[in-house]
Amino acid sequence: MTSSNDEIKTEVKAYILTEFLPGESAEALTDATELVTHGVLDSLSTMQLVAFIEEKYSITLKAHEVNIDYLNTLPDITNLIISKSNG
Amino acid sequence: MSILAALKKRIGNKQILLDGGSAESVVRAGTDETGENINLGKFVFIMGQLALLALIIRQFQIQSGAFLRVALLAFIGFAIHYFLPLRYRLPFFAILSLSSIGVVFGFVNALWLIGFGLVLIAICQLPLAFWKRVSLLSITGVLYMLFSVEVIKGPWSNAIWPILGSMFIFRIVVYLYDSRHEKEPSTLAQKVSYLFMMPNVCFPLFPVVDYTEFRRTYYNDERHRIYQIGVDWMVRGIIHLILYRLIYQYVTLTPAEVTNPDTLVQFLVSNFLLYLRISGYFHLITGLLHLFGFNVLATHHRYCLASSFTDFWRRINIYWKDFMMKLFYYPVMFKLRGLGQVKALIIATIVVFLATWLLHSYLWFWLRGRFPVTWQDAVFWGTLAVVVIVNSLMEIKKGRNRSLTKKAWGIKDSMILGLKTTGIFYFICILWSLWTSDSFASWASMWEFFWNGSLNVEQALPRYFILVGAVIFGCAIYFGRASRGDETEAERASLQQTPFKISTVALLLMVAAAGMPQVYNRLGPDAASWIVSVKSGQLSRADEAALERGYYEELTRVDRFNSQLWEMYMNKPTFHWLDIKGSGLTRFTGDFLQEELVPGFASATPYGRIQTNSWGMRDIEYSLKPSSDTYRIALLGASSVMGWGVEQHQTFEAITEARFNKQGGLGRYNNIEILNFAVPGYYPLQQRTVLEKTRQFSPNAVFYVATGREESRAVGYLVDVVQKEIDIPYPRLNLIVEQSGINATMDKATVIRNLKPFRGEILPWLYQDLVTVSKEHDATPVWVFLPSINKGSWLNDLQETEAMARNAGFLIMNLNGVFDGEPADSLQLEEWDKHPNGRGHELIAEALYDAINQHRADLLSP
Repeated sequence: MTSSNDEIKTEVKAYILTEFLPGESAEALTDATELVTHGVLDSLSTMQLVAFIEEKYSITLKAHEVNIDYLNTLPDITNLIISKSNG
Repeated sequence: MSILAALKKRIGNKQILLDGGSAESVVRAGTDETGENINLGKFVFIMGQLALLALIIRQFQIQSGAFLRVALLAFIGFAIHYFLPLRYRLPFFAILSLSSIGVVFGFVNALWLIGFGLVLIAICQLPLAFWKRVSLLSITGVLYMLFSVEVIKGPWSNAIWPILGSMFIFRIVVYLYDSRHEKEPSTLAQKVSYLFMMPNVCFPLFPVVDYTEFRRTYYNDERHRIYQIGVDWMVRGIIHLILYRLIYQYVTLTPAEVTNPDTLVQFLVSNFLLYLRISGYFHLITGLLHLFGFNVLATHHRYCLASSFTDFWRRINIYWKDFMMKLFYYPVMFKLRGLGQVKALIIATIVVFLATWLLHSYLWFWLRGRFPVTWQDAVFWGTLAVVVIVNSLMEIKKGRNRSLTKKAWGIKDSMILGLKTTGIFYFICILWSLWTSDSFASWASMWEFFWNGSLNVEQALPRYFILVGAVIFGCAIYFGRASRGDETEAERASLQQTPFKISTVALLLMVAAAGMPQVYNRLGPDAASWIVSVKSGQLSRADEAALERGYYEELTRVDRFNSQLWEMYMNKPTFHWLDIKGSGLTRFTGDFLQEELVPGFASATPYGRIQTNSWGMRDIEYSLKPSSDTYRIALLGASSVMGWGVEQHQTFEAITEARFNKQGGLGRYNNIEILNFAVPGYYPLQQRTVLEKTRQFSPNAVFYVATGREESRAVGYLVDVVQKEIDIPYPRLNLIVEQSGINATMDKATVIRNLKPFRGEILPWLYQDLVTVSKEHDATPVWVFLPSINKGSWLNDLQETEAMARNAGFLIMNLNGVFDGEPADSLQLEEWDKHPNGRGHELIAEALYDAINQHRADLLSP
């Protein structure tokens, strides 16, 4: 489970860096980085991220899960994916 | 640690989590339980700042007297709250919030408001399917709407409905939505705190605080940092409000005053910057919430410095944006994503702006009993929707600059940012001006100078455009380099540094000192006058005129929140406030006078009986001709002179008349009669026609009662009769109309603009004619100046007007200062009605009696 957590986190991190933070160093995006409050995840990028997550992990997210509680940090996103995957 | 202590700590920690606190809160609160995080030095420092804030709120009359009481309650409550263990703080805040309702509304009405609110909360808790609870809430909401517009009357005050609406219409929706998906069930304290949160009772316009955010941010940081942020934001809010007042009173223009590029920019920019009022209040509110541990995010973020339309939407009223995203945008996006990202985005954005438009109108229903549907709203929200959609599509295609670290910015990037921000700022100002305009014609008339050839070379220079643009350009570059999140963290981190706390204290001391007469009187007359006007929050010239019109007609644009007037109207009863106009008191005359009082009218009003005599005067009966030992005065004036809102025997005219007759008349005359020809809503030019009516009563003197803004009111009436194509029986006025080229097809702003070169002729003509005609009929013409109860812009032209009256040949009785020494609110009818009450009339009568005695010789000379 732990390695799965790390894999998911790494994949999500890579996607965010590529799509929303081009040119940013990977070290700048840490587990503590607040993606929503930092403005990295706005309405447009959030929906893009949702589309990526749903397609990549074959899960379906709901509208109420698109908020700061679930998407603000990499660990939050990872936990959401894990919990949806486990049903 | 003993077993008992460990158990207490465990119970306390569980309670913290149940109260919505984060795990970090448990760690911090653990120290609170033992009092280790109580720092008396920091506490005293914060209390000191709150004391200064309270002083400033009082000095500058921020919001209302009710807010001062609620702020004091909050600050004293903070002092208690600080020492409470964490588990008691939220219930304490809930009780404090409920108490604040009692402070403002009194015990009985507070109970009604709280009761109605608790019904809504109870419906949310019913063990029913979600859609059934929504249906029940909707039905209850409709019932409350019927209560609010008095279709169903009850024993409560109608004043509770705007506040109940403000508290519940949005937050109950958010609460219901969030409670469906909450991870931990919320406690009663959380629900009550959220839905009744102070200081909502004082602010009909209140930020839509998100419920999840409300719980999530509760003590999610070191407590003293949260408190200091709160103080900083309240100071920021005060500064916004002071800047708002300066702009409102000294910078705003009416559309008629726009004649060249500089005045156009002045109008556009000052009109938009009136929004400082809203951002000021919202900073004050969220700052106050911080004092009780709610570390909520800022409501606004440098909204003048948006570099795109989507950026503007993200910066202005952030809570509303988040509310729309949660309830409308994301649900629609998720529902429609099968159509593709672009189509879903377009539809979702349209839904958001449509919902914004409708919900704003819904809010106004609760505040004013009307559901406005105006073209201005449609154009504003529609245009904003289109530009945000276009911007969003561009961002999808080209991406948006995001970064986690500060990057080096080159000159080119800075220039582009500056230009974009300046462009967006001006676009928003223009759109905002259209939104707040009275009519498209008056808005469009402001731009006519571009093509009507009325400008000379010097006037055409866009100095203000360049100056304002340069300021926005510079600020955009200076501030625009950090993202919102970075700045938030930077701001928060910097608060730990002493210089920032000192700057807050310095600002507080400066503002508090500036509000003291002992200080501002030493700054020179101009500065002192500015400070006094800012302290009093008086109405602007335009709003004073609007308020006066509003006594007699329903103003349809008072729902623009950038006007100070709307707040006054907030408190005005929706129906039946001295509803004299529609009750048959006046009738249309079909001539220059337009209307007059109906003879033999009688009716009851909330402030007593109003009746007219057989001659159509609001007065006792008089014979047509006076007896030989009676000195007769014909009194000309408007609503204050007529005695709006007081009984006939309470009017200053009746009091003065009775006093003279009791004390033996005037000179050789044993009796005095003062015939009250005043009619509510009369303007100076109408008095020329009233003078003709007085002749048959053979007055010995004609007392013309002037009030402030005589010249603009005279011009305003001429504009009115021209637009209504009413015949003007005075050759001089007809000549002015002809020479100015005005006619009924023109919009009001253009007519006023065209009359500007002739303004200086209208009032002098009126005064000269009044004097000439009075003397021709052996009546002594007397100019009586009656001041407004509140100081205001009406003072500006008093000297000039008095000189005009003197030059025309009037005997002058200037009653300015008659109300000095007594508090204004003890002399006026109501907060929203500045007419003098009974006590006000007594003071006027006393001053008039003395003035008549002083001029006895002139009045009695043949």
